Amino acid sequence: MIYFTIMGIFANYFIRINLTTMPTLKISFFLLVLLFMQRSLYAQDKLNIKFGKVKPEDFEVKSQLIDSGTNAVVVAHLGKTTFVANTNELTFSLVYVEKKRIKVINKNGFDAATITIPLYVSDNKSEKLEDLDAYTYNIENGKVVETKVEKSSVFTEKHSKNWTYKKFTFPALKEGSIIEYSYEVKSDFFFNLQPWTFQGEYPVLWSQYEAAIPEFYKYVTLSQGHQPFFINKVYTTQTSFSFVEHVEREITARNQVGSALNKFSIEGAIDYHTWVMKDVPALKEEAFTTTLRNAVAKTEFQLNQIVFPRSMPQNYMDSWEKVAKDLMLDEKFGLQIDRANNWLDNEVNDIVKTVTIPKEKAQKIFEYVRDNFTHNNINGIYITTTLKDVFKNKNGSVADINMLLIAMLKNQKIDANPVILSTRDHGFTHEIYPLIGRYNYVVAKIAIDNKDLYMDATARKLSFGRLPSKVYNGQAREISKNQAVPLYFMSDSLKESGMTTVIISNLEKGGVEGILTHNFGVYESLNLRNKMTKTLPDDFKKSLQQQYPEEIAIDHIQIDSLKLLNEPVGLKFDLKFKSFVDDDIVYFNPMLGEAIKKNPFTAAERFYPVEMPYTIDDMYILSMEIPKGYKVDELPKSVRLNLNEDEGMFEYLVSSDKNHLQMRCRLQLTRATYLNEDYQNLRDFYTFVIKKEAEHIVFKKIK
Amino acid sequence: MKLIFFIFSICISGLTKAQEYNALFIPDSLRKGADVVKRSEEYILTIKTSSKYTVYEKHVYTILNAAASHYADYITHYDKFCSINSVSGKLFNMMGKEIKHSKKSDWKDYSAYDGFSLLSDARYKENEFYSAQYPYTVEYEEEDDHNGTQSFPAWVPQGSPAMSVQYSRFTIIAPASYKIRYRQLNFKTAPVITQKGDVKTYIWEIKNIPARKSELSAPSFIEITPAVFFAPSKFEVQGYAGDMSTWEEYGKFIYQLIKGRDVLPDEVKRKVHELTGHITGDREKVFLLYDFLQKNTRYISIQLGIGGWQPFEAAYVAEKKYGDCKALSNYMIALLKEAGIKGKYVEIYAGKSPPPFVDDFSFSQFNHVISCVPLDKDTLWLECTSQTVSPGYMGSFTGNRKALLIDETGGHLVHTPVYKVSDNLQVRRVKGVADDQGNLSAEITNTYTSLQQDFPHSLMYDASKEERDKYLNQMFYLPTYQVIKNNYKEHRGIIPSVDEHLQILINNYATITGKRLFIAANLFGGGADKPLPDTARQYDYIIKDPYRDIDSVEIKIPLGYKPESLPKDIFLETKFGKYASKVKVLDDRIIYYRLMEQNSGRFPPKEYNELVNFYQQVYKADRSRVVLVKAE
Repeated sequence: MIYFTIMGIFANYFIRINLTTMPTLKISFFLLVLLFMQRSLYAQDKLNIKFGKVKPEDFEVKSQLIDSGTNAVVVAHLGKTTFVANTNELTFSLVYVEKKRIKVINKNGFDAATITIPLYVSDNKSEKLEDLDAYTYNIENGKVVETKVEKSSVFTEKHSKNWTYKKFTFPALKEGSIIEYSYEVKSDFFFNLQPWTFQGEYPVLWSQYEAAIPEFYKYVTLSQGHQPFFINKVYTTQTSFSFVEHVEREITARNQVGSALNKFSIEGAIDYHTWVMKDVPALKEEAFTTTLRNAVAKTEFQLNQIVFPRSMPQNYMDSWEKVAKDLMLDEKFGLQIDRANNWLDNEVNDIVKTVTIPKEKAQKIFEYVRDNFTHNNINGIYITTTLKDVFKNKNGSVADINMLLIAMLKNQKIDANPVILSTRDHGFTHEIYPLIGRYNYVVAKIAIDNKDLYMDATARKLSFGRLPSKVYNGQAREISKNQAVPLYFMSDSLKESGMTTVIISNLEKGGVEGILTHNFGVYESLNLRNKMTKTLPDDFKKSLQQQYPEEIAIDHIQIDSLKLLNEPVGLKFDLKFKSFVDDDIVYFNPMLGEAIKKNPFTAAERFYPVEMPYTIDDMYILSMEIPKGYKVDELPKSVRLNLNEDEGMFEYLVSSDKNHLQMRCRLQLTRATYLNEDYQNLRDFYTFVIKKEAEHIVFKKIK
Repeated sequence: MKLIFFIFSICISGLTKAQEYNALFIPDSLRKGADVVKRSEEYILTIKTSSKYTVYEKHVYTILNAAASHYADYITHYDKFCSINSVSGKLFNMMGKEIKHSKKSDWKDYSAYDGFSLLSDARYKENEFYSAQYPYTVEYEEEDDHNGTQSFPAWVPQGSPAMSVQYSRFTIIAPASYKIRYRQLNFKTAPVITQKGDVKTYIWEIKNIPARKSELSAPSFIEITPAVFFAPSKFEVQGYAGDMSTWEEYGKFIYQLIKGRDVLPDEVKRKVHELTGHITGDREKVFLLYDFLQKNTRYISIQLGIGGWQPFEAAYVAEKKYGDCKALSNYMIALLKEAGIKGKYVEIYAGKSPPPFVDDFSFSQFNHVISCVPLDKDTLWLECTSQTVSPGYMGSFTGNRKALLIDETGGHLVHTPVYKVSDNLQVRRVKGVADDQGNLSAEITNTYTSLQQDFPHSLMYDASKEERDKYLNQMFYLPTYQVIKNNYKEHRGIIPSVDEHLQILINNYATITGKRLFIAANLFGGGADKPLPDTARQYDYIIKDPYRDIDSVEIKIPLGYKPESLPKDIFLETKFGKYASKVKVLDDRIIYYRLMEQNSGRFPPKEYNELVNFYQQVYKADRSRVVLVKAE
């Protein structure tokens, strides 16, 4: 459990960091060796294919990654980004070239033949697609036949304001076809150096990305995933970029204006990076995964600084302190909560008028925002409009609503700060670099009586002082003036406790009846509360009845504290038994309808860690009068089982005397995340739990 | 009297929006069982010329609870045939006070990507309102221009069972000479028709429709709720003129769109002759050409302009080797034609649950195209978008429904083949061994035919091996298990079948407690919903597809156990179906037999509890356990 023990190790484990801005002497020293290696590697390393030239033997693709389940395989995927000087405009552009060869193995791999190329469009600039070449290759009578994707078959879809898609599909596609395409995109959005994803839906035999980055542009390179690099190298050369400036000059004699050309060049070092992964297996979707984003093998770039010779460096990535400072000065973030916001006075004073101490005030304000504002399902850390508008419209993004909450708390002199974080489905944040793009959520933090309290007013029906489980995703940052303090929200620290009590007693007229009481944990309570806003009581009863065996009918369902959000929900109902009247033998499962019947871990194998939202502690207690006229013939054995010593526990205790039967069953998982190596143990643990919970008590009629 | 009338009318017209939209004024009869109330609705369809019309619409919903919050969103589609002139929305609180008016920037514009088309020109605009306090009211108003009169919106005041309707009106304004056609469903009142000069006005209106119960296996909603469909007689679309008054005429219009688009390149012609030249039987020729189509084309949907109605030319498919349903069917017909066989273009509504077809009202009730070949004895139906389905088999995708055959003489309505009980079989044989821990290792050999093979067929072809493994390891309602091996074999035919062989290991399938062993002889008994009686059933219960399942199971158990409790043998025969189950223990083997035969039919509400009773007995018997006790 590297992830949970020390966050520093976690960072090293998942994310390897290179600062490409530091080409050390060591690297230059190895330059010759690397250059030599490059050649020999290419020769040995079987990227012996040539784009645009497909030979009959190329159709024989061999790899241990290809099995009967492989539908398509990416034979080669190459990408290259270079910086070019726009001689006349005095600017640089990025040129990105991508080449891909795919072998389609069967019909299920036909999806690989439909390609979408997204192009970024801004107000007056747009990325341009150039030199798109795409061919399908088939073998017919021993010869390679090529079919071109015509220009007219490439469609343009205006997907959204900022994105245009170029789409095409390969013609003459058959099982066994090779498809190949290459294109170039010229982009002025140089701060957005193309990231490279080594891993995808299909196995990739050779994935290579090259970037030639002039020293003026300094990027931080971030690599992640569970796959090793086959090549990861850099070498440096000197280059000069030429520019031609049109200079307007006054021609003094006639006082006229004319133009002249001023030619100049900029000298600098270029770092040539090469990253290669070989034989990358396909990504697999698995249950209990927060997001595959954390698992995919990927390298991306963050612009850190632009430094041209003889000019001041422009910083694009700052320290956390600077980021915090800037955020607090940003109209879309800190400025709006920092103001006096006197327009809130009347409203907020009205909300808190019945209470005096700060904690109670905070609670009133939180409840007001939670109950009156609707989250429009838009995440992000920036306020999308003005807080005044948010207040008026009673809805907004997560930032809109929680920043308003903060402004209202501050209005009552309660010290509140925003905490930025990334939700579980959005992937991990970065520990060291202030990569703001990785944060997609804001919650509020207050400190009262030396105790920290967190709030998310977008979480409908969540109790005061709790956060939804989706935010428990590791590192977060509390933002205040000049400070961004790291905080950790770990799912392992969340405990969901449930408690079920069943009392079964004898009826006067013979037979038995029972009462079941179930107290839910925080998140189960939340789920039930939200469910009940959309479910009719009758339908709820039906769904409960589904859970129970045929011989037990349930009735008189009561749900307590459905509206008291700070209390756990209590569910209570009566149980009516058909058995224990005239049966000679009764096989009685003491878990009634509460047993786990199906292993949640269905797959026999596991590739990524198991990530559950919280730890579990479920207790089930049964107290039963021995039915009149019956005796216990056989009781299940009492057992206790630990999972990996202390990562989980299952206890099943049962005992009886002449008149009474007691049973206690407890299931605990003390971790929310288990490594893939622990998967088998976890699955076996559940196998045992299910087996045990299926056991019966045998009652016999006394004759 | 006059005065009273006068005051009364002032009251009506003086009703402010706040009063009109006040949620407190909704009568209880409309609140009952409703998540949303349609407060008022107006459609005005104005036919301008034979090729142009406009639609004005206004919808007002009061949303009572979170289950209906999606009614606060409004989506409006547009494409080459339809442009949005104006669209706006307002949000009102419970008291009917306006709290928000949609701004232009609130309307998001999206490509209506359907998830499978390579490209479509369909787009939509969407506005969302949010409110945390229920009830609240939204009002949406829209005006569209339509280019082409091939289709009109339908009037279905009640959008879903949990919606009640206070008021809805549909008006058509058309030149007096224009022949509008309409068909009323579950709605008797004739429209009010007035004429002023050259303009004719038709008005349909309805008040106070209460919410309806949603019931399991009930008729489709459109069979129950009031609706009026509209269609043109003569119409024009993008330069093509047609007449929709009869199926025949409708078919002629479609024929005009496909005519002459069947020219094949010479090399494909040669291929056709090469394949079929030496064959004499037409049936065999069709099979060969269909196989050629399946091996050499794939389905790619492209929906652009009239392309939504007209197929790409056969030569296009021949070159690209892909096309949509229209293009591929047209190509198939061209291949057949080259071999001297007449194939037909067929419009149909594809999908597991097609809406009820209105036979006597001709307009496009289709979403798919297939082809067919009428032969001497029967007709061969060909699904041209699938690379795997058997020639002649339609399955639940296009079987048992109305379809329109199109040829030079026009359109002809036919019914596609119905699959009977004896066609839809599932025969499973289980041979297993339970060890002394209760673990069961079993070989399962299954055969599925016709509709029952649709699913294994797609597991075999449409799922990747990984998806199949994943699915097989989740689909059974067993505690912890692993499908160690799976194998499939298909037998193609008009009634196709799939053989499935599974090797499965189930942990602790039998529960062993002390001296007893509990085991369910039916391995497939879990999972299904428990049927619950309903004394107030309102609608018919419909079983569409009949089937027959036969299971035989043999489980070897550890030595030394004697039966203590055995489920009783059961045989049930009802109008709904037949069921039988038998268990016996022979030495160390449990032998089990099960038969379930489901009849298709439409059963009235009064028979519902009888039906539930049948299913309850089945449910109970399917879950019954054998209890064995160790001989001492």
